[in-house]
Amino acid sequence: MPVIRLSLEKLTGLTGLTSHELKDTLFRLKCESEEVEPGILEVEVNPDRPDMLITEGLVRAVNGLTGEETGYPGYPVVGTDYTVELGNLGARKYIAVGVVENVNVDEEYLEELIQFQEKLHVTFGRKRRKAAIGFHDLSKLPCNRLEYTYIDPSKTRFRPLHWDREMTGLEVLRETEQGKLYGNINLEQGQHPFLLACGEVIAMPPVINSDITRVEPGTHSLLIDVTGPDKWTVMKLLDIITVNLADREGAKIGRVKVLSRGKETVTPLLEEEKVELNPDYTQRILGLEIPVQEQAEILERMRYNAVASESKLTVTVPPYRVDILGEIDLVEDIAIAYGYDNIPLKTTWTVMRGELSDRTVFAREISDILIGGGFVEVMQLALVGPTILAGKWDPGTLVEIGNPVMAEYSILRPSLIPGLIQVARANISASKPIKAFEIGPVVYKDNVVVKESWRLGLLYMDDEASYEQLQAVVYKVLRLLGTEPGAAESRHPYLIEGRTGRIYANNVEIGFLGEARPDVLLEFGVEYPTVLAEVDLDKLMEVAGWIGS
Amino acid sequence: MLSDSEYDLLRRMVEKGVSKAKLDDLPSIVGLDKSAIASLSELLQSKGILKIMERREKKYSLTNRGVEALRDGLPEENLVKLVAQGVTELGRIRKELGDESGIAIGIARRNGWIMINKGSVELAKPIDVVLRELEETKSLLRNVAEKGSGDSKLLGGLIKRGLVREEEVVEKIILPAKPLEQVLEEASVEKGRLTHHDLKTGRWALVKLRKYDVSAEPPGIRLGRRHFLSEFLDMLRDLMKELGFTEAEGPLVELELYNFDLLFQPQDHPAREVHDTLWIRDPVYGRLEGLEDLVERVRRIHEKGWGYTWSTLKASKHILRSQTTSVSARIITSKPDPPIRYFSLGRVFRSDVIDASHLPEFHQLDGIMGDGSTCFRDLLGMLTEISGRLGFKVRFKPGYFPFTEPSVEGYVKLPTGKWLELFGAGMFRPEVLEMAGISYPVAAWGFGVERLAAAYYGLADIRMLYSEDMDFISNFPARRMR
Repeated sequence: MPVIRLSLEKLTGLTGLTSHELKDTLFRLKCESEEVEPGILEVEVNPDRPDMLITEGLVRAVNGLTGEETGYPGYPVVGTDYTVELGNLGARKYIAVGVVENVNVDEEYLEELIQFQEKLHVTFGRKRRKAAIGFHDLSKLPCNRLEYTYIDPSKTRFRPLHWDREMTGLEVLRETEQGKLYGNINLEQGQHPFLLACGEVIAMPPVINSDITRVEPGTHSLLIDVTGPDKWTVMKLLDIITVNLADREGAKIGRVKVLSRGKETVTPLLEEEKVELNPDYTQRILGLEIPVQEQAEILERMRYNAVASESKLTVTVPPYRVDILGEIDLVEDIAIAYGYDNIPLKTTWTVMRGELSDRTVFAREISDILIGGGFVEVMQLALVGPTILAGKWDPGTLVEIGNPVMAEYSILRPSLIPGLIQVARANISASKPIKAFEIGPVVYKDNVVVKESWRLGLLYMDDEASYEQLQAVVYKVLRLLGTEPGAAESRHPYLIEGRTGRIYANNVEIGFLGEARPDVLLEFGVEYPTVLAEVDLDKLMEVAGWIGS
Repeated sequence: MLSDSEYDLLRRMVEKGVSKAKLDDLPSIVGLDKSAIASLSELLQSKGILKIMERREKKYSLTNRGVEALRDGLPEENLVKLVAQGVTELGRIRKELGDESGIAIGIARRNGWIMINKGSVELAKPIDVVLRELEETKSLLRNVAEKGSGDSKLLGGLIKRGLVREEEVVEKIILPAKPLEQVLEEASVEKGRLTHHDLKTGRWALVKLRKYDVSAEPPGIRLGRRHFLSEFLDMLRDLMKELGFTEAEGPLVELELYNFDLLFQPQDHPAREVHDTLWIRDPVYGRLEGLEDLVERVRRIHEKGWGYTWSTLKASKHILRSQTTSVSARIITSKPDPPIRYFSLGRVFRSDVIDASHLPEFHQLDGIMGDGSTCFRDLLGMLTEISGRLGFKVRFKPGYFPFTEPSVEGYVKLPTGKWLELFGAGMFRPEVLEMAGISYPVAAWGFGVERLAAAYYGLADIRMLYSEDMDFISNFPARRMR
């Protein structure tokens, strides 16, 4: 979740709230906040509200909730003589450009603007893939006729932001940090997007701007470009930015013409959307009877314009609200403004008979029996690594993770046995005997199909430990469950030949049991004789008739 | 008054019919340790029950020279054999026999076996007669070597010759001073433990049990135990069952369809990227056969809601489920008739590096309810109820999840003063319900289990929940779960 650092003094000044009231109001608006150092408030903003990633956006929402300012007043937009001509374009084919005059950038605001840009890039812009932003000092633009086009970066020279020399676009991709990070997003057949002003490069989206239009303290007005492969995201991002910049004292939004093969559009769009809300729907979802007029007032506090008639509310959604997909999203805002804490809880429900799963019931029964035999339950992660599997499993049966974080957790365990040997190792200096069991899922491939089953694993380790000591336990469990146990000689890579048995319940094979091979034990540093068993609980449950009730 | 072990010795002697025995023989007869018998018999003698007699005995053993003589031949034997072989010159015989020659000649002459005539030695008797007579001496030596005994008169010469050693040993003989059956009958016994024998024979009435130090620390013991995390999971299951919820299950290796698409998470959502979700190397994709209607609904609603081209292939990708809400998604796509109340509790997987507060794998508890008219008030009420049953007063905060609206997060204050995010919850979005194909509202929530369990048990490090240490698990303090 994005976290932004803002000046507490500025926030309290703009909202008229104490720091405590401010934090409380932000909490009610989905935002956790904390004063991490004197005067600096860190605010965690949910990813559905990119419009709140800057002081002005937070203040707009806070002042609405407190009733200080309500509704969506709209933003006056003036015409400008800036134009953008679209050239040959690849995947990153959308651009929206806007002007905001009289922003008056100072040192503190510059820092916030960079933070705003960065957070928008990461969240709404999906690390610049879906959309990227460029800020330019309007007064430094070489001219007012811009061109957005794909060209050959090796033949295009400019001085990247904060560099002291000119380089080609290709050098930018290879030598600058941003080039290495974002250079491969839009390089298509040797062409890369560029934004030019009268032939001079002012940006190489989504990588870096040119230094000539650098924004710095003292910059009065800004030109903003947003580019990306997705039109809606590009347009909305420009709306979010221009509105928040325009909330600065005295600032004004200016329109820019975008020309594409003779067709002319204007950005920012700043289109308001009308959503109709049935007040009964609010009631149905929230379970609250809120009169339609009150619903309208609440929505105004959430910075919508809302007109109430008898059976419906007509709601104007501001252009920067990218999270409103339908009336349900308005209902949440009503609940937020109403205050979750003020919603009376409903605490009576129809009586229903709850049930535990067959596996849960079965596992409990088996655990109870084994605990009676002095066995201690262990629990381990289902993720294991190649070390503990020790090459003893057919790779074709293992379900491996394609993008593991650590090799130790890169494979789903095909059996409980490797984990139990780990348990034996971990307890070599504990008093003997070690009697342990585990119940849990294993995952494996059977004929390229992924399968899961619940298993019971048993471990018996002592100065001397023999097959029949654990066989007695397994047989007892099987008999208590009403099945007839049996065994036949078998083999297993971990177990001694001639001391390994396949285990049956009512003549159905359900697992195996045997004495661990000394070489296997010593491979894991276990210097005590150990007997191991594994039973497929899903099969046993079926044989024992424990399914369903 | 007899001690338990004194009584035990006497009982064994009676059982084996021992009336008089050497102390050395008793251990094998009664099956007790010799030193124990020695000290017990001293004690019993002082109580006038046994008598210990000492018998002095002569014991014989071979000296080194005796051993050599038996092995290499007696000097006189070697002498006569030499003579029999034709070596008759006295000088040469002396040379052959060395130091032994004087003794050899002396004995042989005394026994009338040889004669010496002008420095030449000859046999006075046929050699086989001489050897037979020699055999008597040798058998005496053998007897000493094998049995340690012999007739002192016969051995006198050999002792003098330094072939046999004579020693005097004292042997203890133990014999009853009173009839032991009677002693046993009448004895009152002080013992440490009451035995089956005591109870069976009625001896218990004569037994005086020694006092214990009842406050002494007993020996350590490891009991069979449930694992505390497993108990915690079961407590949560019971809690949900009490509230009328039925337990459901779903696969760990899940299709993105159920983990994400049905939960209205767009396919380019950051949570679906490589660094957040773990995918399976092979088979990369699962099957969507039989789900055609569902897939079409998901496509339509994603494309309408998010405005992008939805990929069936992406939805069929195998991942390790990142949330048990995938199980809830499976339940609603089965279109159960309301009222429904389900929960699932299982493992989920994340691309996290393991540390004190993160595990790559942990448990989640998900729940859904829909009785046809379930609303947000029901949800907040149910969450308050669940939290209350866990002993927490919950604080609600509006939240954001792609699949719920309105959404809420629940925070609780721990005894340490820290806030813990207990759950995320909300009403399933209309898009989610429409994709699943149901028409009634559904309230949904998910609890993270491990952090809650660690807080509940006061464990600072979440990894301790998966400790492999048997003693840690077995000695984990028991506590009332709620």
